[in-house]
Amino acid sequence: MSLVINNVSKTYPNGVAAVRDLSIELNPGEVFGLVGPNGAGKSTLLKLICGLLRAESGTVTYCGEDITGAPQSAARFVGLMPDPLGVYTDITASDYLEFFAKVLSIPEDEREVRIGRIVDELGLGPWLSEEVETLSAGWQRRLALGRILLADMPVLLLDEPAAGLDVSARRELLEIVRSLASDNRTIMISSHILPELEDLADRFGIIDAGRWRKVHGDNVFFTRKEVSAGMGTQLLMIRCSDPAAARLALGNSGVEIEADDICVTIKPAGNDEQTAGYVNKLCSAGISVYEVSKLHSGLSDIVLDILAGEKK
Amino acid sequence: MTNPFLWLEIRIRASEKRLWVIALFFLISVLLIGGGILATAVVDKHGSLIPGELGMAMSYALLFWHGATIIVLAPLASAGRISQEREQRTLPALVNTSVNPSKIAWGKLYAAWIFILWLSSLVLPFLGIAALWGGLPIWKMLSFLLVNIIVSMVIAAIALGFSGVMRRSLTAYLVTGSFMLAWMLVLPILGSIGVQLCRSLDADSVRDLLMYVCFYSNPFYPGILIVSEGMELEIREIVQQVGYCFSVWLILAWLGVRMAIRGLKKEVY
Repeated sequence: MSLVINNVSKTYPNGVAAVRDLSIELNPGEVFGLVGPNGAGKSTLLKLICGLLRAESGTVTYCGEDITGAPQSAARFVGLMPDPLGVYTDITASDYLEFFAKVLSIPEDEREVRIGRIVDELGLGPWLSEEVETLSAGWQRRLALGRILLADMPVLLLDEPAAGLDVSARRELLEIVRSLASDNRTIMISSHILPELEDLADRFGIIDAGRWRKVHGDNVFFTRKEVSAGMGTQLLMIRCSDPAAARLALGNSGVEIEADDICVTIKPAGNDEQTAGYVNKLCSAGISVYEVSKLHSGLSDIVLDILAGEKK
Repeated sequence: MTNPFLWLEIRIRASEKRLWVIALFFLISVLLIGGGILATAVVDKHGSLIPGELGMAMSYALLFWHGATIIVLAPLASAGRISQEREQRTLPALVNTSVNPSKIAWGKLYAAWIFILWLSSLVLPFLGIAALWGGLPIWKMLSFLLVNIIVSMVIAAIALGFSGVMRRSLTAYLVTGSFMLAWMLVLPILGSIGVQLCRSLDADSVRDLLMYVCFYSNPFYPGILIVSEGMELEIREIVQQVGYCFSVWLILAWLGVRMAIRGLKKEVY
């Protein structure tokens, strides 16, 4: 029941190679976070998966069925919420859902029940008679999500689902996405809002210039567990009486040290022995140590480090 | 209503102010023409109206006016329909369904045709009045009206085709307008010059060819044949010319639909 993308490549007519030899296998119930800078090839990859673009090479299969470059076959399994959304703005939210229910050939007797369930799930009830144009960006996104949920597809591709939303709308939408994943759906999310993505996705991949970036060794993917276990560089923060003097005292420790008005930050943190050594040095220099804490890098730092590392 | 695109188009268009403005303009223009003819007749005949003459004048004016306006308005019903989807970026959502491009194209075309039929139905009461005042025979009026409707449907199909292959609605409108100008005015003008030349050179076969290419497929040609009672042509010639005209129209409509479907298929590249 998995979605397999095998060595897909796509070059646009203007010669830009947007995706090069990308492969990944996604399992049911998995939320995959697709990360990368603008123009890295994230949207192209999503469009290749749902057949909106034809791959020059490689295949996309769902449960063994080849859906490469065949939007009508892909539409049976894969739903895309594109960015920009592209919703019809001059009809009501209710008409929008009814139209897509007709397009998806949902039998008339089932239509009302299916729409009603989605309206309840997404909280669209109060907005059904409103014109789509008058809905806020958050509600328009929910409506677009409603469209792909109508089809009840096992794979959802969400391109920047939280773009342009305020904090609370973003949280609410991501809550909905989380509940969708618990229904054993496979979800691939492309997003620039990494702190939220960090909480949501089970696995991540960084795409840059159309290729997966290596994360550790030959691995190109990493899990949320690895992120929370301190996969990235750890920082050691020491709050002390004189951070400037502390910086000088630790100056020749062979690590990156920064000081501000409150604390010194040491990167990388090192092991417990090294931490004890730093504290001893500061105490010997007559600097009072108030607090020592180790900080894990978040997804944003990891992504930035990996992308910066590749550039170096 | 089995085609969801027809359902959507009707929903969207019915909520647009533009549709009602067009209908109002059409209705007012028809009223003005009817009223104008009536007023002119009253002034010319010093108050004594001759019903037959009045009815004739009204029939001609209404039918030609209907033909001219419906032909101009037909592209409005379809020239932006597919390119507008591109501009609004709604096509990816449609392509990401099991629906095929021909269903999208036909749904949009049916909606344009319904618009044409609806607008044409507005002229019927006025034609009824003209008939009561002793205008053209009813069969002639209805045939002329039918020809106007058919040619408008063909133009709507061509406009939809341009909309399918153009990225911008404005370009689709402009290209459709240019095509219509060339078909309705430029070709007959060039044809007239060519026919005159052929007459002076005694080149009858070339003249016949020019008549077919430049005149017989013109949107107004069958209507002119109807009101002029065949221009004293033999039945065989009338059948030949009208058959040719409708064949050309059919081919143009088919090409329009093919272009629209092809344009939609090109969304996946």
